[in-house]
Amino acid sequence: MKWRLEIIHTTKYTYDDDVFSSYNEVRMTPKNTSNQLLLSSSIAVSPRASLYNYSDYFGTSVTYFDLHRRHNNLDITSLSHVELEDPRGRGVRLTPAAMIGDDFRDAFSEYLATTTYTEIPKEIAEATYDSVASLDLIEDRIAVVMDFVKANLAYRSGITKVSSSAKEALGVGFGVCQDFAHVAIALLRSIGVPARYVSGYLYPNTDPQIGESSTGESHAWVEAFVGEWIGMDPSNGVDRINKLYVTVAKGRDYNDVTPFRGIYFGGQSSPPIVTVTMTRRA
Amino acid sequence: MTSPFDLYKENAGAFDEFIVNSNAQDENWLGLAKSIENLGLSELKRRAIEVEQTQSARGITFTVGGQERTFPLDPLPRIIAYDEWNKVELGLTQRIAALEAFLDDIYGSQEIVRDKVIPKRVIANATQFSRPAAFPLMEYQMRITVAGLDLIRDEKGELVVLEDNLRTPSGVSYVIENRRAMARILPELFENYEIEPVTDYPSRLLASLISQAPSQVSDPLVVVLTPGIYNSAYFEHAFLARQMGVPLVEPRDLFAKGNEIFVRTTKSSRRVDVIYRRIDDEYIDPVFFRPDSYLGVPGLVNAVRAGGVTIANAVGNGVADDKLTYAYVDEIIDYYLHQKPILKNIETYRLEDSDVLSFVVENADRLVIKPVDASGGKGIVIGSQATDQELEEVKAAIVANPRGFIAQRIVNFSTIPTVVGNNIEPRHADLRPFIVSSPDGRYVVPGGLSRVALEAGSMVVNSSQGGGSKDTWIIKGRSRQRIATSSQLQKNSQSQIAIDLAKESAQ
Repeated sequence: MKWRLEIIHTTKYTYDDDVFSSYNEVRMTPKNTSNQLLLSSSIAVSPRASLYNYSDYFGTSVTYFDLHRRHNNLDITSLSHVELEDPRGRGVRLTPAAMIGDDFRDAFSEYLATTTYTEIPKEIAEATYDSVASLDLIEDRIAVVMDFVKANLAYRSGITKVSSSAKEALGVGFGVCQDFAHVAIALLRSIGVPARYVSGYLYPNTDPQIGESSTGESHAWVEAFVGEWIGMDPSNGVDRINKLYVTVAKGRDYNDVTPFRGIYFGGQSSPPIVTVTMTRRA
Repeated sequence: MTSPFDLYKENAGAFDEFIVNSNAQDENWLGLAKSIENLGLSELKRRAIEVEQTQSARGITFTVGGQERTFPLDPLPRIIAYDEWNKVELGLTQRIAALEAFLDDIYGSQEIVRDKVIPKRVIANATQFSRPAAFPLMEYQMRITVAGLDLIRDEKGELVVLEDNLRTPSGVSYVIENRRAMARILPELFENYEIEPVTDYPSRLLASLISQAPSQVSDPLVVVLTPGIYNSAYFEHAFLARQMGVPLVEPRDLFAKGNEIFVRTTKSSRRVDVIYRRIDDEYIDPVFFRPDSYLGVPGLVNAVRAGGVTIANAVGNGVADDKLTYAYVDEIIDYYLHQKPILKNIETYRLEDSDVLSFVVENADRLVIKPVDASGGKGIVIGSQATDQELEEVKAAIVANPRGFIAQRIVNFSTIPTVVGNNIEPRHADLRPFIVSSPDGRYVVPGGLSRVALEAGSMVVNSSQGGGSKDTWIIKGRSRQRIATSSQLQKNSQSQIAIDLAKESAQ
């Protein structure tokens, strides 16, 4: 069954002193995917700026703007409507043996290579590889990875930073969704499964009524290629994502999907106030 | 009178450009030797020192480790025959045309990967593959406006490609300044030889840059963007701006607004149409690359993407300089142009194949191992000259990261007579030709920068590592006033004149 969600994602920056100019990129527009249809979207910026849109290397919709008037706050609002259903998939599954061939590894090299965010200690990578080697089904192998993440990482904010790598998160044993995704990606790649980072929103209400608003959250999860791409959410221990998940961007790691990035000249910024309001509309 | 060339003797195994050509009775090389004999080596050196002093007084320098140095010019020119050069020129334009198509493709639909001519990983895992640059250019824009390739002459005497430099190659200012200096050191030879001119370069570059301005602009503003006076090639940036008659700007002089770029002036600001930039990709736009870069112009990449400004060279060319990409250039030429490569590569080992990797590890002492993404000779290990410890370290490094390196056979590249102390001795030299591309065609500077390793036997020619340079002469047709060196030579020349006349009348 399909439903329609409205997402209002606001980000508010306040500066302790005037900012003279800033250059910004926003990745906050949901994608079109096989289970997600983008019905409408808009991005509004205050102070007003002219917005420039393009689609980046990974096919993410990017909104760019620069500001040249003095300002001491910046508000970004992304409003979108999407129609979602649970991903159905075709059920195609490769055998682990089919995934070690040179052609396969080359075609997916982008999602098998280690990035700065997805580095993990060699011993962990090797131990994971050894522990799945006897399993014939790719999904069993992935289950081992998900169990490892569960056993070695606990959800707690404020310990890792936005710049923390998978190695650092594993080192302290705590992290947020970004860290869970990076650790899972690193382990999947270490067992030869192509994996990518997904950013988006998670609707917290499993049985929403039409017109009912909930406070959602920006979220990150993972896709693995097993013959087709399948989504899973390591921070919530969810094996298969469903229509609660709204996809915005996909990439090799957080760096490819950063929702807001840019540089500015002027006063210090306090941490942004981010709110995500999600409402079922149909 | 004895000639300073009497004692000249080539190094064993290397192709010496003077010995081979004078043995073949090449009148240009023999004429050069004769002139030096007439002049005397001490007079040649006296003139060279005089010119070098004026050069450093005029600020023709580069900076190494914060110290300004002149780039020593050897007063003996290198001569390349016109016919050979014609072939090299064709080879260079062919190679650049193919690499331009390659860059367009990999920053677009990546058909070469889809067709399995190049493995995906060669591109996707290249450190210089720039995802922010993955957008199509406008039809009036080039990715490789300026290329500076490094060639060497191998043991058989053939000029082969050592590496491609498609980012911000430098050295062309020395080509032009060396020519001016040589006209003062050996004016006699300039009267006798018809040397192909190199001074067209700035106007050719300017014409290319203007032709790449956003199309609605009638009187485009071109600027040269330099990181500033501490950059090792600052002299060249200032030189080219002056020669082209365009402003030399630093990043802080430029700003982006609404996908256009402006230069601050004392009164207000002016829109910039074309930026000839000499700042590396990594520093050019802190929105995308290093956010800590003060050298960049934030917003520049998106201004280019939106068509508001042209930058030359384009962002992302480094992936074609990757030495693993180099190993595929023959395939690249075949794929895009359906042609056979005119210029050869040096045989290169791709280490991702585990058999090749173990071969290279076993034979590291006989090979040269290079990091794929470094320039200026950094990180290169020449097996035959490395210590045991250096060899062990590089072996461990290539085993840990085979994608990060390539190996090549050690080429004992050619030597050229060079003034060393009170003698003339053979020294190894490479050649960096420069190619300017525009939507209308390509221009190759006749000759290029010959860089000489000043230490005996050394093969390190980089200016940053103590190399010198030579003026490179492409000599066209006949010398106007023939220099008699032997009756045999005269006889040859006369029959050659007869052939030339026959050709002329045939046209």
